Amino acid sequence: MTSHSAVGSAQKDRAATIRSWKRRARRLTPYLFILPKIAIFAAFLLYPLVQAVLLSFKGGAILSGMRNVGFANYRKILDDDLFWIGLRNTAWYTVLVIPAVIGAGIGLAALLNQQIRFRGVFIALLIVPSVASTVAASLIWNYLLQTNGGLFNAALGLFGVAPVNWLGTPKYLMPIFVAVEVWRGAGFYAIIFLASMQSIPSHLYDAAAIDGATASQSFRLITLPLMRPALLFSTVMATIWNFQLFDSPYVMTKGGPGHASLTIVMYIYDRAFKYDSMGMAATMSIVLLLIIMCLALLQLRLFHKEIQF
Amino acid sequence: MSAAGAGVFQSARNPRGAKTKHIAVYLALVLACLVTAGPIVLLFATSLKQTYTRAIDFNSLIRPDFANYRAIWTELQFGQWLMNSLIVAISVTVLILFLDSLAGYVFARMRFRGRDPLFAVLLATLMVPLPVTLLPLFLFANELRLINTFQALIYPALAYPMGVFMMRQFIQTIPDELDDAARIDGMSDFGIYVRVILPLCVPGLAVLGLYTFMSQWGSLLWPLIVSTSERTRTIPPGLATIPGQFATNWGLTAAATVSSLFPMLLVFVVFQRFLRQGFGGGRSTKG
Amino acid sequence: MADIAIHRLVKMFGAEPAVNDISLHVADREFLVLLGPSGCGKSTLLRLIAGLETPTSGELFIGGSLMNLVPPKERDIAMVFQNYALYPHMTVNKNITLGLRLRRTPPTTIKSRLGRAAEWLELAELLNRAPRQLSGGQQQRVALGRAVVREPKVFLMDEPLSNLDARLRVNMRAELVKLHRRLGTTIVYVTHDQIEAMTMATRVAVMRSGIIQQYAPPLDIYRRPVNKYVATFVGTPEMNMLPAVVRRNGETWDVVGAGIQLSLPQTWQPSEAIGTDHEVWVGVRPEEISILPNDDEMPGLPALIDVVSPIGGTTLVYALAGHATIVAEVPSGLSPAAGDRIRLAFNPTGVHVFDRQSELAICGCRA
Repeated sequence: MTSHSAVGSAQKDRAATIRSWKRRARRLTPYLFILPKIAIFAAFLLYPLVQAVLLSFKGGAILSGMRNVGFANYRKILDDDLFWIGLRNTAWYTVLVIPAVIGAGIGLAALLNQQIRFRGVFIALLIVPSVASTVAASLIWNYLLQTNGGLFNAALGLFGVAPVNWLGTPKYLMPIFVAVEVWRGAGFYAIIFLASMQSIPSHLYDAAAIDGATASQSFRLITLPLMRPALLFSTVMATIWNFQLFDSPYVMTKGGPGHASLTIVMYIYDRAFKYDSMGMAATMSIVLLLIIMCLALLQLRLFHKEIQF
Repeated sequence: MSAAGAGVFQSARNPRGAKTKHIAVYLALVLACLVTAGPIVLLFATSLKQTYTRAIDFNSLIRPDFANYRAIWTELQFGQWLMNSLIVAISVTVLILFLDSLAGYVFARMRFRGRDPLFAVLLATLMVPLPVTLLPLFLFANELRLINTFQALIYPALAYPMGVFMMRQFIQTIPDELDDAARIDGMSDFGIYVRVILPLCVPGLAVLGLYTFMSQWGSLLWPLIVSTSERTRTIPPGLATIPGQFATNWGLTAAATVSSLFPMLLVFVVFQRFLRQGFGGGRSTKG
Repeated sequence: MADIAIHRLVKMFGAEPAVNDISLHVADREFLVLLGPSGCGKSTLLRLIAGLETPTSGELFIGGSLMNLVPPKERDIAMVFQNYALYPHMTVNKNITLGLRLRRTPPTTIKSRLGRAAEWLELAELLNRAPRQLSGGQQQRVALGRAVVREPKVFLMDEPLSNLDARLRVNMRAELVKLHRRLGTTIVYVTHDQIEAMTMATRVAVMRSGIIQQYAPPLDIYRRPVNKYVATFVGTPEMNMLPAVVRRNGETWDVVGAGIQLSLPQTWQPSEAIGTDHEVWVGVRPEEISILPNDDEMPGLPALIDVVSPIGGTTLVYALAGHATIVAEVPSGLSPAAGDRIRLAFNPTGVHVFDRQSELAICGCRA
């Protein structure tokens, strides 16, 4: 009888051990599941980020060797004319493009939110430029902006206006890039905003109509406030993305004429790969990071109120 | 619940002038579509002709000349670019869908130590501009002799956290009770992920997949840095060389541009079907 | 004057008429309840009065003026919605006063009206909260407040109590009646709950498939339903319906069937030619049925008690007579038991007879 119970209890022990392993394994599951993503994230985003900060304190070139120079690079930036030109161009572009592209997105979404037929067809047509890459879009606009025979100058010609050298006139450059980005991006934002608008219960508009709101008052008092999460998120992401303008100037004007279309990221790229001063380039990229962080946090702080994440 | 088109200008709420407003809406939309789609049509027309005549000339649509399309394979290296772009974009998209949905599932459903701080870190890195990480990555790749390889093109893209955020958002709209029911049925966590969450995530996955493919397809800066030869060059850096070499050959430029749009449009059309399943973040799952 | 005149109003959605040729006159200060099941067109009719829908044909007058093309904000109406439609991003205060602010009402007026409404509806402490911080009952009072401060000519209410729990609903019914008395405004109220209709309305319009079945004060609807539909829709438990025929018996007519034989009152004459054995429904409300012991000398319909449900003051008795189940409501003093054999006697003045073809009342026999 004792041997019987001895065998029985051994089995029970094994079962209990297995169960506690399983329990411990269950607790490990979250860590296991996110491990691949977090590992890649750490290796290819966090680690380089840290390296970039370290790099910003180094001078010299890749081949000849890098050495620590403390804050020297940061001080050099302040004297670097091209850096300020790039910053100014980029800032000017961003100030123009954000209201333009977000406004266009809201406008299109408001139109699409009406009781219209063929909504799907309209959306498809409005999305087409978004499908094009920034490079493709830039080439298309290159084509349209040709001095001789481009669409815009042909249109001007109809009104007897002389052809304009669009890509050769410095003050037109940033607005041109704004046009490219609005053309390319408005449809994309419109879809996001449309989804947000459609989640607003129609009863609220009924109540507003009875309360006496006109269409534009309804839009201002109900639609826009209730779209705030989507609007805020899009604006912040758009700011972050657009401040890094590179593709269009690179393809269309290579920073010229002179440095009229030089952007910050373009300059960083030039510094790193054309002038071979990796350290300076890294320093500038860190400054860029700080600027973007400030912009993003500022926007979040200003429009915070109620965001449900 | 709102009906689609419960619009701001709903005509029944203000019958006066409703008809004019209605027409104005259509007009505005048609105008917008002309602006967006018009240049593409023009581009297409240009790609189909050799000699360049007037600015607005759609004749070539009737009598197309495909010479330019042949030229992009011979004069440029379009074939190579296309293949490389496909390899990179498809790999990244597939892997991101898997990695990010799994991670999104964890953040949406499971509690563990450090979850919220970790998520905050992921979110914060959305603010980090590309050049910051690309420069060290270049040096890193250089040291490991991985310049001009597909690994260099693919791995860094997998680190981007936006997808985790999107999927978490989406999965949060799936009712918890489904998980509970599945657990009672005996499913493991991974089982729940595969059999309950993933199928219900299809619209979210479609959006993420489309977005990822699109950004990889059009990515310029990193491939420009890391692909030093045609062997791994993708379409965007390739296209960027055209204005330098073939500045006035608009036919060729147009053909190359149109060809770069084509696969992207195809992917879009395919993914459209999955998007239909409930736009607006998982509202298709009835609680 | 805030009377509402509806003349041959039609509203089509596609090929379906939601409101089908309705004509109605609502007197000033009336509490009209539009009663009917979902899909009968009552909400559509309300929205037509509000101006949230435009009629396909017909005319709508409020206070004597034609309103067909007038937008809601110019109709001097206020509306309370089923799910309250409170603006989620505004405080209670802002929600209530939005209408007044949009109309540039002077701030002193806004303040005094808000104060009064807050006092009546007990909202004073909630003024700075957001809607999602309030309970259902509180949200509903805010919705009422929003309507009340406008001091409109007409109040429109679309099933405002249906999202409340039962006890709150009962209390709110009394509150709404008091509100009507205090404000004296015309109210048009939509519901599918006939108890609400009976307890609150001055007049009820029973609707079905876009057509008004009967438009009368609640007690008339209850006691003199004009057709079988109205008879069964109003009253719980539902009026019992038994198949029977009307047969000539000398100078008078008898209703024969289901084991009963009743003489119709001598005053009753058929309005048109009726052959022998004209098929009808006999309708009797549960409270008009009494239970007698099962005796061959007793009159009444023999039946077997199936279920007994005491509900406090009275008892519901479900009895089987042949294939039919009949419900009787009897004083709780009696103690019938399941399985008892009894006889059911109908109060002759409480019997309704409906033509089986047209379902119209031939005789609502209450004198």
